[in-house]
Amino acid sequence: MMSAVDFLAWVRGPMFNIALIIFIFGVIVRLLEMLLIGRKPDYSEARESAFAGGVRTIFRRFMPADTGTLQRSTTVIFAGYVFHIGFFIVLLLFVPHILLIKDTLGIQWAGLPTPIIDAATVMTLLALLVLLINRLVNPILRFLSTFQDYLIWLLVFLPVLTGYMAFHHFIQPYQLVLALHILSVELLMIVFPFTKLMHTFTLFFARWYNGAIAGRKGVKA
Amino acid sequence: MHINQILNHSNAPIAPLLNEICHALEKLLLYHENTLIDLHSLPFSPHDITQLVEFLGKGEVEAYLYALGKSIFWETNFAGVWWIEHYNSEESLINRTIEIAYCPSILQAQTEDIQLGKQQLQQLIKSFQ
Amino acid sequence: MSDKTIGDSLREQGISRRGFLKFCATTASLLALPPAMIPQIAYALENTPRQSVIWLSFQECTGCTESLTRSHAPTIEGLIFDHISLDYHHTLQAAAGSAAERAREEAMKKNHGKYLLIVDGSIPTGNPGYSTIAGISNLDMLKEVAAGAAAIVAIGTCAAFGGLPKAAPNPTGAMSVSDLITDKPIINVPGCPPIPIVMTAVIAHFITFGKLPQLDNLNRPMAFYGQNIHDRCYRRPFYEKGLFANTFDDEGAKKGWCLYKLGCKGPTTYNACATTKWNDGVSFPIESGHGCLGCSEPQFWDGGSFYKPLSVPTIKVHDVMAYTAIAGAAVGLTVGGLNAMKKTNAVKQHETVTIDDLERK
Ligand code: SF4
Repeated sequence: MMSAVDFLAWVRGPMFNIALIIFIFGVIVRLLEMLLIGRKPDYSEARESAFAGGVRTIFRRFMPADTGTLQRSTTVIFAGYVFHIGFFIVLLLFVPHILLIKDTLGIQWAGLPTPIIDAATVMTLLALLVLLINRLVNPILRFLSTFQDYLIWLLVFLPVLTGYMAFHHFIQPYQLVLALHILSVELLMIVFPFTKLMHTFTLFFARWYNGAIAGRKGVKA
Repeated sequence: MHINQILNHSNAPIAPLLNEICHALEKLLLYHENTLIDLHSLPFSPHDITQLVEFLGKGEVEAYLYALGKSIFWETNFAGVWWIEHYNSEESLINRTIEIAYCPSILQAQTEDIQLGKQQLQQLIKSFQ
Repeated sequence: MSDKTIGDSLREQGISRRGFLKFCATTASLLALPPAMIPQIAYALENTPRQSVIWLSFQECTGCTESLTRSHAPTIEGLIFDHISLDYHHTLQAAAGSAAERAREEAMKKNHGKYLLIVDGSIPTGNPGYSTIAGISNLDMLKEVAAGAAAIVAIGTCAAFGGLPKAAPNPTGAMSVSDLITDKPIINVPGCPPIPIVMTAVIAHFITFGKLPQLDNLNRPMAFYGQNIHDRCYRRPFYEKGLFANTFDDEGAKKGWCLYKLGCKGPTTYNACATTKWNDGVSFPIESGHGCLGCSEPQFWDGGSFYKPLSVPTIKVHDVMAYTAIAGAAVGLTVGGLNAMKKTNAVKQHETVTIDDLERK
């Protein structure tokens, strides 16, 4: 059997390589594939700037569209925000994560003290649980949910959970839980390009297209 | 130095240690049970130790033991709380403990030694007669 | 094994009972045993004959022996060391050549099944000629001496896990003791070198209780390797606050902030350095301003750079990322191109349907 140390060495070395290759390759291929489809030329005269419309929509859609939607989907919107913000705080502001980004991309920024990260982690986990329960309880959501929805919920939940467990040394030896954490992230990286997780990138294009089309027509969307 | 100042300026787990001492004192009062706290196994920097010594202070009693190097004992400002430092013959510190006891156990004479001493004394007395 | 007990030889040296108790208390503290066990330790050490020890050195740098003998006698570790009967240690013994080997064989015969075998260094399993003693290959000697041992102590990372000789590409086929001997109780005391007092405490425990202390999953004594350097590190509060040294001489370094960014392996390392410390308790690497190398863990040589943070992959990712991005772009463009072609073809093949066409049906 592989020891915890071997396991850690494997996820920090060869396995990371594999995950990185699949992630980068998959994301680039899929983005290019989608973007190269392009749009039909619009021959009508522009009423207003498509660019301004595109940019506006990218940002405006961060706010819930209207009070009706907000009331109908309070849980999803609220927990969704908590989850996304918490996830990004943990991902981008925990110092060891920043060091990883610095090593791979060469850019870095300041991190947050660990008690704040810790709190954000707990909130992220709770939000994810709320979202899952909501998905299971709400008949419409349950009807619409596919296997993939549950799969990516799990694959997003695991890195946060294992990260929390690693930080608090819930499993001994530490190498094991750290390796599990890294592995869970690698699994996420591997499925990322081929699932709805791509919305991390595509959401901006989709909003841009919508906003630009509407903007050109002079619609304030 | 005031305790709050120490707690605020120190990174070491001083507060839990003080709590432990407090519980040990209770145990001593209730059951006459001694407690030994090993300071070597706690993550205290030399600075933390100095602060701790300063905070606990020195009480009325101080004692030395000369066996395998020197050992220093003193009662802190808190009766029953003893600060103990063992040195080896090279005068480097080998162990630092806090003992919560009426009297540090190692200071008490050992039964075997008392027996031996008694025999020697008896012999001495006999030789006079 | 001489029949003198440790108690006898201590008394011969004029060590009083209080002194002896002081020694026992320190040993108990080292072994993380409750103070209530001090009398038991005292009793056992007082009455047990001197333990026969055979020490074998294989592919090693003598750093472990150095570490142990550098502890200034008569410290506590020196005491135990003085009162075991070290029947064979080819670096320390006066005898040489066949006389030395005879001493080893005699000790083995006399104390068969009872002696403690201490090993430092890893064992080459490639060409046996890589390392021999008196013409006997390391592997043969280990097997021969291990057969009659009560227990084996693998001192240092090389004996415990293979260490430096086993680092990739492992030219000598180096292996650890536990890779080769499976039918004896083995205790690993890794470290490069290990803390001197750990070894003597292990021996003290063996003498006192007649068995090995509680071990962790890598067969290391829990009392010393049960805790993480990071958990016991006095710089930990800076880690929590997010205060890190970025170089070895910046403000953070001078203020004693956490060394994680400089590659400290404290979080994945189990050892007693942070509490027992080195050089008679003077300090330990992190206290001296250098991150932990993780020397008491298997494969610490192959765990990536000593100066890169733990959260960073051990491989060089930049080339991989660049090539993958290029390959991804190439495939993406091709797929995009094919899609475009499909579209153009579809447009080309598209025939306009007239009213007549529809009515013809
Ligand atoms: S210096 Fe190393 S062991 Fe100490 S807190 Fe920082 S990372 Fe942990």
